[in-house]
Amino acid sequence: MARFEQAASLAARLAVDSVKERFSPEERLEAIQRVEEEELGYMPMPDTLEVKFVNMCRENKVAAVSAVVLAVMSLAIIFADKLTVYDPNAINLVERLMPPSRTHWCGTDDLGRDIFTRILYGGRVSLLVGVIPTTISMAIGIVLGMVSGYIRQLDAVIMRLADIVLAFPSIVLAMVVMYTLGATTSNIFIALSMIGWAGTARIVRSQTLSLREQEFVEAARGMGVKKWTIMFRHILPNCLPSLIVLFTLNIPDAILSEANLSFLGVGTQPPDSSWGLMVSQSRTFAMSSPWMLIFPSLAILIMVLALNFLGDGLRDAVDPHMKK
Amino acid sequence: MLKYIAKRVLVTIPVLIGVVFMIFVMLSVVPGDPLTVMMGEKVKVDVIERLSVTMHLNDPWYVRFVWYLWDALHGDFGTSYKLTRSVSSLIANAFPKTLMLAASAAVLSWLVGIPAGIISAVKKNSLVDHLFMGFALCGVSIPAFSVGMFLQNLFNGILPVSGFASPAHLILPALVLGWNAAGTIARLTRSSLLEVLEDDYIRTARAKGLAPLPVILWHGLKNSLLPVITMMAIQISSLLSGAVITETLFSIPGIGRLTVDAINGRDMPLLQGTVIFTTAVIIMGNLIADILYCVVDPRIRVEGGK
Repeated sequence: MARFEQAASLAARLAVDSVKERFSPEERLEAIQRVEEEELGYMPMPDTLEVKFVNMCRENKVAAVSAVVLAVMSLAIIFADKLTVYDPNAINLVERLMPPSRTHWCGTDDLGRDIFTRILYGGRVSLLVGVIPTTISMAIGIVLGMVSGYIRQLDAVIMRLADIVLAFPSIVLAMVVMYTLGATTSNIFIALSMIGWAGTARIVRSQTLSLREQEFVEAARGMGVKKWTIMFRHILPNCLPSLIVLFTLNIPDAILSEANLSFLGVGTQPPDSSWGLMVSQSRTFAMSSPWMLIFPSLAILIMVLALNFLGDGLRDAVDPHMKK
Repeated sequence: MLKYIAKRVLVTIPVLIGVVFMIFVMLSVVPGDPLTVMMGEKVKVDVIERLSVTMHLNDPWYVRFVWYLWDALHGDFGTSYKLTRSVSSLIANAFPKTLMLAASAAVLSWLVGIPAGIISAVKKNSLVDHLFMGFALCGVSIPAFSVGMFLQNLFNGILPVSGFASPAHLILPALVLGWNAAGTIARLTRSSLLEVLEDDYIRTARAKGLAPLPVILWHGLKNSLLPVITMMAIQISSLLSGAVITETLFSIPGIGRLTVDAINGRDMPLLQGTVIFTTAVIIMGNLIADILYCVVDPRIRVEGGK
């Protein structure tokens, strides 16, 4: 608004200077912009997140390709039943341990189940485990982090709690939670949410600490805006860019944690499948039927790698200081 | 500086107690009678009564927690249900193996990660840089057990692929555990060296006519290794985490394997003991790293001591 008024006043100033007769409207506009830049120190509007994303895709080809790969994989996983004629759990002992062929693109496993089909359906678990616990844990982390950074009386309690959670090796804590709750897919969500919030809380807290000292928050406080409104309407939107980056980088962590839990036997339980479980089930057959090991491993590698590339790209786009 | 260290040590104590409390409460709510898990269904009543008293099983959970804390402070984590040996002796037996594995993986990751990071930073955006960074990113993007299973099949017959009998048995597990760590170290070394290399004093050193290599290695690396040292401390946590997977895959009787066995055998005292011990090691590692960091970087000494 302020910028618009400045520009309008400049135009008015140029208008009285009898420039009207000598210059065309385009030339006048150019002159206004030049004056604006030189005299007032032109302040460009900050890019919106969409603009930043498009710019990133234009500059960072790897991140753009990663975004496409992720979209294709997610669609394939969501519409798995349209892409394959096989049942992921149908046992067919005649066709067990078949190498990749035209009928079975990724071969079959020890029970004759089509591996490509199982990767598509298993991807549902991996994708859900990537998104749901990350969302829950980040929501908890955001609220606790903001409270910790804004309401100083609660800071010590929340941060010591975060210290305790962060002190555990993550897999071990997840194992203990799974052991306590019992190994089911929904409990994986709970276990990973219980662990993931602490890291987010720390980051949001440190951002809140610096944001609460800025003028716009001070102004809001001075106008008598309530604490919670300040936190959610003024501080949270300013944390959003880094939270999006954090979200992208937390998903692969969750996917790998689920894989590890499944390998240790406290994650996804058969006959359900997830990529991690498929890899660990191939253990006895990996020598003679390497496709059982290779394809699910590749699925994890491609998805996690794409998420990491995208997260790195987003970080560069959102936070120019990190870019080298 | 002493003040800072003292403060840092004092903060550690509530965290340690919190860790023990959290594990204790979580495992207390697991259904099942410890004595049944320990000795099966057929036990005499007087044996149950006697053991219930010695194990404080008749007391409420908070009394048991205080007893547990008291015993743990004296190095007594109880007796394993399944292995009928004291948890402390089992841990004492297993920990050196985990330590050897973690140490060799850590050394490997430094030997590979730091030079790779330096080369990548110096040859920024070259083919070598992209190759190294791609390899590093793959290391953190694939589950360790996938890599381990590939290597087990690849080196079957050439190197020992399971057990813990000779130094050769450590090669593959250390590779698996070290790749992830090396990737993290290489990425961090690269970014922190790049940041330092743009500083004014580096330009001054170059302008004085110093050869490029001494400038990078002597002036640049010295300042860029600070975050890497912090990362090494954080690594203790990820290495011990990773050891759970690696030890299970390669059948190494270390502390990670002990934890997994305790879970599978529903062996509560053993699980409590191993988890608390592992976490305590990590907390101590972070404490030492923080103190080390404060010795190396005087800025923290001044700001943190206030």
